[in-house]
Amino acid sequence: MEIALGSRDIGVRARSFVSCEQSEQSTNYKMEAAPSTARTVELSIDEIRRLNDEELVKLFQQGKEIAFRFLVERHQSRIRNLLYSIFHEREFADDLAQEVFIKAYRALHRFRFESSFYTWLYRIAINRSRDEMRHRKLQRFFSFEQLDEGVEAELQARIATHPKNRDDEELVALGLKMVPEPFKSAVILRDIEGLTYEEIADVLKCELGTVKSRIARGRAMLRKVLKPLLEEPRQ
Amino acid sequence: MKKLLQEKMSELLSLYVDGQLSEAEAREVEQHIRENENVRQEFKELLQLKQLLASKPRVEENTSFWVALSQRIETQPSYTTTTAGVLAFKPLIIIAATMILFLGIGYGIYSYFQQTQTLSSEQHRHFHSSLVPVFSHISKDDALQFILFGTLPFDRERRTVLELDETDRQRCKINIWKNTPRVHNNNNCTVQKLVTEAKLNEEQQRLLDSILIIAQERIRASIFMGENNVLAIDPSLPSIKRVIAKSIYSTLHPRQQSSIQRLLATNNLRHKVHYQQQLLSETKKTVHQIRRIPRNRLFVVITPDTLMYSTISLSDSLNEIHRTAYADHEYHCRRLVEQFIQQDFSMLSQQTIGNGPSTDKMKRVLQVEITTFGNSWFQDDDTFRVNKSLSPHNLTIVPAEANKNNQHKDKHGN
Repeated sequence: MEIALGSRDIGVRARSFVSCEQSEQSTNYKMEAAPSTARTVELSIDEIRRLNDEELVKLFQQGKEIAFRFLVERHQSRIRNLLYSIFHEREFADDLAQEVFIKAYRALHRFRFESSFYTWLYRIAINRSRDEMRHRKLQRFFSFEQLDEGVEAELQARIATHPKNRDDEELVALGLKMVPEPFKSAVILRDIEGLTYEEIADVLKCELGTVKSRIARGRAMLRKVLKPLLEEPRQ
Repeated sequence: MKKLLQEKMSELLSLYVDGQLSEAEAREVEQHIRENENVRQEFKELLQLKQLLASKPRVEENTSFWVALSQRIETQPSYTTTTAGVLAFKPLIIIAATMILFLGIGYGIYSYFQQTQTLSSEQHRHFHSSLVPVFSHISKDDALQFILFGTLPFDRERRTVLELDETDRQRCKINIWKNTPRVHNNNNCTVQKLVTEAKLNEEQQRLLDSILIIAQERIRASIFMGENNVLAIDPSLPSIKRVIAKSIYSTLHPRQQSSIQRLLATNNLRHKVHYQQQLLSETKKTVHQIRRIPRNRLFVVITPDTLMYSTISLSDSLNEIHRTAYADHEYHCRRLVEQFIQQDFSMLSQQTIGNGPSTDKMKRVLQVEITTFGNSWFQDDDTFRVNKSLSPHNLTIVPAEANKNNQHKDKHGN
C-alpha cells in the first residue's frame, strides 16, 4: 500500500512539471525529455510572441510571467522615446523607462482592461515624468537657479547659427523644454508619438475638449519659440 | 477680445491640421486661411512644426533593456501591497511576525555557531550583487552526467567545464577548466543509455525522472554568476551530488546496479558504486530524503580580488522569467562565463595544493578547495545523512598554475 502511495506521489510530481512546461508528454517518460522540453519552451515562446497585448496581460495575470517580457519588448522603445522627448537625456530616459516598467510589472495583476495596455503604460510614464519634473522644480527652487532663461538664451543662439551647422533635432528638444506641462506632454503624445485625441484623453485622464485645447496651446507656444526656424523657407 | 478670438482661431487651426473638424467647420477655417494673411502664416508654420516634430528621429533599439530590467525587478523589493490588504490578515500577520521573531532569534543563535566554525575562512558577510543561475537550462542528461561523474559543462560546446574532484575524502575540490580536451567529455551516460542498459521498468523510470528534476533544481540553485566576474558556489554541492547519486542507485535492483557499474566503468567513473539492498518501498523515503538536504544559506563567493563565505541575495520572483527567457538568459550567462574564465585569479593565491593533470591545451581557471570542519566531508556508509553543519573550515583558492604561460602560448598560437 505504501509503495502505491509513494509512486503516485512521485508520478504527480513528474506530471505537474511536465504540464508546467506545456508539453503533451503526459505521464509517459520520454527519453529525449531534456531537448524536447527545451524545444517546447522555445516553441511556446514563439506562440506567446504572436499574442496581442490583451492576451499577454491575461497570460501574465494567470501567473505566466514570461508574458511580461514580450510586453516590454513590444513597448519599450515607445516609452523610452516618450521619456527621451520629455527630458532629452538618453540615459536618464532609459533609467526612467525601467522604473515605468517595474511599476507596470507590480501593478499588472490589477490591470482591468478598461483601457488598452499601451495607453495605460503611457499614463504610468507621464505620471512618473511629472513626479520627476516636480522634483526637479523643487530642487531648482532651492538652488535659486533660473533654468528656463538659460534654455531660452541657448535656443536663440542656436537658431541664429547657420542652418548648415545646426542640429534641428536639438532645437526641437530645446523648444520642447520651454513648453510647460501639461501642454508639452499633450503635444509630444500627439505629434511625436502619434496617438489619437481619444487615446491622449485616456492617457491624461481628461476630457476630449481639454486635450484639444492643450494640444493647440502647446503647439502655439512651441511655434512661438521656434518661430525663426519655421519662418525660413524649407526644402 | 481680439486675443480671445486669436486663441480660438489657433485651436481651430490646430484641429484642422489634424483633421478633427466637421465639414462645415473646416470650410470656415479654409476661408479664413484664404482671406487672412496672419491666419495663413500661422497655418503654414503649424504644418511645418508638425512635420518637424514627426521627423524627429526616434531612440534606437536598446537590446540590453530587458536584461537590465529583469535584474532590477529581481533586486528591488516589492512595494505594491496595499494597506487594506494587509489589515485584512491582521491575525495572520501577528502569527507571522511572531514566527519571524523566533526565526530571527534562532538564526542569530545559528549564525553565532556558524561564525565560530568558520574562523579561518573570510568573515561571514552578505554579498550584494544581482546573481543569476548559470545552469538554469540544464538538461536531464547533463544533470545525470554531473551526478555520476561530477562534470558540468558551462557552455554548449563543452569547452568550459566545472568539475568536482572528490578523490580526497577530507577535501573537496571544485575545478573550473577551460579548453577541455575530449577526455573529459567522453563520459557520456545519457538518461536513455541508463534506461536501456539497466532495463529500468516504468516505475523506476518515473522515479529517476523525479530524482533528476530535483537534481536539476538543486544544481540550478547552487551555482550563480554575476557581473564583474563573480562566481558563487554552494559548498554543499558535493554532498548534493553524492546523495542524489546514491538515491539513483538505491532505486535499482542489485542486478541492475551491476550493469550500471559496468556502464560507468567503461566511462571512467571516479568513485565506486556501492551495492545497496534497498526495496522499492523505500523509494518514497528516498525522494523525501533528497528534498531534506539542507539548503545552504552561505555560499562561497569568488570575485577577482576577494574570497568570501557569505550569504547572497536572490529572490525567486523572477526565476521564471530567467527560466523562460531562454535566449537572453543563455546569452547573458555565456558572456559571464566567458568573462570569468578570462580572469586572472592569481591575486587570490593563498596556497597551491596539488596541481593535478595539466596539459598545454587544458587550462585550469581556478580551483576552490573546501575542507570540512573536523569530520570528513562524505559518509560513505551512511547513505542519506548529510552533515548539517556544512560550513567549510577552510577555503583555498588555487589559481591555474602557469596560467599566464598558457595565455602567452595562446597568443602566440593565434
